[in-house]
Amino acid sequence: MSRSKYELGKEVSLRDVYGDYLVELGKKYPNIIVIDADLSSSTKANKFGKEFKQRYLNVGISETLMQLMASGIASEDYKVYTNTFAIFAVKGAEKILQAIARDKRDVKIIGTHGGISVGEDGDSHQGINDIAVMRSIPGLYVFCPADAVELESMLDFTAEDKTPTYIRISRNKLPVIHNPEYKFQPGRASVFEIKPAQKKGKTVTIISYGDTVHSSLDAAKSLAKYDEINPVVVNMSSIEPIDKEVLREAKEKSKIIITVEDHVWSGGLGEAVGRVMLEDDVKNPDLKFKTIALMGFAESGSWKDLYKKYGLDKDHITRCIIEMVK
Amino acid sequence: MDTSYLKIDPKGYLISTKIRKYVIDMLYEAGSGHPGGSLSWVEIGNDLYFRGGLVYNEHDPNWEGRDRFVLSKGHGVPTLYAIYAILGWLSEEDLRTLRKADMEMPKGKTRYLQGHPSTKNIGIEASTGSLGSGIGVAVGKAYALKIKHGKKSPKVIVVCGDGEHQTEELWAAIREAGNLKLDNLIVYVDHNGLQIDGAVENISSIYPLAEKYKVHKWNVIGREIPFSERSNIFFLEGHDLKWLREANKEARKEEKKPTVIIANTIKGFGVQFMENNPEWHGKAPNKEQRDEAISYLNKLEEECKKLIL
Repeated sequence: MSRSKYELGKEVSLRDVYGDYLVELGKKYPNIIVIDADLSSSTKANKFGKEFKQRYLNVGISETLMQLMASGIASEDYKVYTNTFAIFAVKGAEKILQAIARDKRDVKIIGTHGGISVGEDGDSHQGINDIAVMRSIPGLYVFCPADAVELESMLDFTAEDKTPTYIRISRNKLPVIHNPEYKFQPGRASVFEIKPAQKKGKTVTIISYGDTVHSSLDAAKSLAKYDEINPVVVNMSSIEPIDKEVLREAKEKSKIIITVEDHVWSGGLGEAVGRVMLEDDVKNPDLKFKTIALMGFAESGSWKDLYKKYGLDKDHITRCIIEMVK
Repeated sequence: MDTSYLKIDPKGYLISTKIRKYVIDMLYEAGSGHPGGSLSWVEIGNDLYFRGGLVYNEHDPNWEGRDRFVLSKGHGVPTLYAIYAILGWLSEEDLRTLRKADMEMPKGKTRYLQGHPSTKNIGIEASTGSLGSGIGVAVGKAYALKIKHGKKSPKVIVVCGDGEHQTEELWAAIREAGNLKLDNLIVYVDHNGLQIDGAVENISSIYPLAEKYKVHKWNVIGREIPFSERSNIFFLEGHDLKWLREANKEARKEEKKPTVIIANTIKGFGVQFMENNPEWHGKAPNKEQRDEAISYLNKLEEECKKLIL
């Protein structure tokens, strides 16, 4: 579907968008089957269940079984969307490797409530290592949308594509940052330039995905007032495959590259970006590189408070960059 | 040696013997693998592929109307390769590729036979090997086939090990198959009572097994005999081609529930020195042992031939 109904700036909960859009896809693609593991009212996949009873299954609190059955169903020429919280998608990771990735099954694993932005439920429900685990599975796409427009476009892509895919979706309402015509593609990041060309100073590139794209954009806007800083935000919504072109360009142009993610540092975006930039042949000896990520478990609390406490908020990102520019 | 069981069906056991010879040679050639658990399900495989247990098209392994066969106890795959060799889906040369690296093919690609079932190879419906996984995939297949074909659905037939019943994901699959009333699903438990570390009941008991399936709303055929209750047993119904034929017929008739066939078997059956010995779970015979096994199997073959005449 070419133009999204969500206009720039509108605050929308991505899981609501997901639930609604899955129903739209269900109408268009009769081969879609959806599986839940008792969290259908939270993942919002229950909307699909109400619309298409014959193509919907809730297996109860059996996340590993859900992934195994998805493999079996997909092996009979269906496209399967499995739904659970990001942290419980990790519970099924061995099955995703064994039965979905090895056999290249057309299964889309949706991990909602990703990151500490889940908030109040605490660290038992905060999926903070899902990206690392999924990135380590060969042949699996790993995506995380930053807004409603991107999520819809991402879902359009998965409806046509047969590659096994993991999509992390966060819990909270996020403002739309992409134009309604935006088209998601794997291996292609979206880039946000903040300053007009004539005013550009030293380029500072902030690379992120999901919720923290918004803290990054807010930080970039507050940095734009400094003449010597030219902030650029890269939304790396396709974490695997990663956009090497954009990283190459960023390395060529930037004085500072900083990654920000609601995820543990190990195996996350920071390491993915770091590896690409260590291996390429771009020479930039003055480049400073930093990763902002979680150093350990968080706890219960509101999204905003936790982001402040763990350094994923606008202020911390801004401070880090000012420190590095000095 | 008591080989009176061959009288049950000498022609049938001639095929079992052929399968066993292939298995032994394959494992000897590979230098590693799992003889015990391969040999224990030979008669189950024989009934499925050569006596009408499984619907398939000899000329087209991917024929849509086929029953789907999933080997959940993936380490028993040499028996499946042996069956495919008899069917002509694999050549004897293919059998010699088992567990070897295919240096000629590009990275990630090979036609060589994998150590555990892989969809890279012919006639494999699902990659297995991680115990407990195959059954979950099979339940997914059965569910999908019911959506696609309704009452006319092909069957999904699974062979599981007994040790596999220690995995939590297996029981989740059994529970859900019962809930979904997947009457197109038939699971064989190749119940030889042994796993790598010893007797199943000594490692972590899975009993009572038949009762557990019943509680999960399954149709149950057969009943387990734990290893400790098996003294002096040299033959069990899981190797009885007549019993297996009846069990399969009964299972295929079921119209309301999934069916489990608990087939008591003997680990290493058909090669005397491997029988009931967990040491033969995961090691290949050396030249001497291979020769001993083959000469024993040749004797069985002769007996079968005599009985046929």
